[in-house]
Amino acid sequence: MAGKLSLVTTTTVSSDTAQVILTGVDSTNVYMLVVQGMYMDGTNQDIRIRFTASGSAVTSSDYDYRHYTLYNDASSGGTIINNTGNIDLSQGLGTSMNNAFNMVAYLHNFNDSSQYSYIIYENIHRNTSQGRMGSFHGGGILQTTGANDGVQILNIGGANISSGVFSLYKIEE
Amino acid sequence: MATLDEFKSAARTEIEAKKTSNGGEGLYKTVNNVRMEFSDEDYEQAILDNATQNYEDQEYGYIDARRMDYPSIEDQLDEIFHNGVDSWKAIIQQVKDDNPKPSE
Repeated sequence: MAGKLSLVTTTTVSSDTAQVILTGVDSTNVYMLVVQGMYMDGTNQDIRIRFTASGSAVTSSDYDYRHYTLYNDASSGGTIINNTGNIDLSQGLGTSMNNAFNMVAYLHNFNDSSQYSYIIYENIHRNTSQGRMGSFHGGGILQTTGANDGVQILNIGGANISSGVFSLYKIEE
Repeated sequence: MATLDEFKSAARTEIEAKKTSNGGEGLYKTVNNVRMEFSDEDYEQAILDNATQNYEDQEYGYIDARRMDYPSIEDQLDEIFHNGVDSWKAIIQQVKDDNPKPSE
């Protein structure tokens, strides 16, 4: 059937986990990643993303990303990062009610081994320590050719994701 | 100032203690809704990630910290308009002093 979303996989986190990995990208379609109601187990911990290949995160310093950050109480501005090992998706995050992280992202060219893989993301979140609302809008590229089959969502400082729903959809043509 | 190797050493001590095989609570990943403890490879990557983040925070954290503390461009222009450049410079200098570069 044309023009629909097909759920590839979904993960509901209810016990502390350091990483969420969603895989199942196996076609050249665009895929949509939805993160709903994510909280961390400690204050001021940011969240990052990597792409996976054969189920394992690609950790090489080949990610480039650009995004615009919007805050309610601090200077907004653009961020340009090249040759790094992951893509930073947020400021420090929240741990409790009304301080969730919510995001929609699109994954392009993941299953094309001859092209780089791309992600376009937009999210809205609040942190607990300052009650600061933040929103990141941008995208990133893994600048190595090769097929990717999913994403890894994590905090690299050692904090855990304490809750949230993470879903990967295939956009049917 | 700590070196990256020093941060790696500290991260190794901290993360090794978390392994269930060492009596810790473990670090876990959830893969397609299945929760499992880190593999040895995952633990090694976590050590590298933790050390890299701490090192980059030390070296470059002031950039984000200053960005968060600077008034908006509109407020800065308003400050210059109403109180002059010297008043504006004092506000900017305070942000820099509060968030110094590692070399300062």
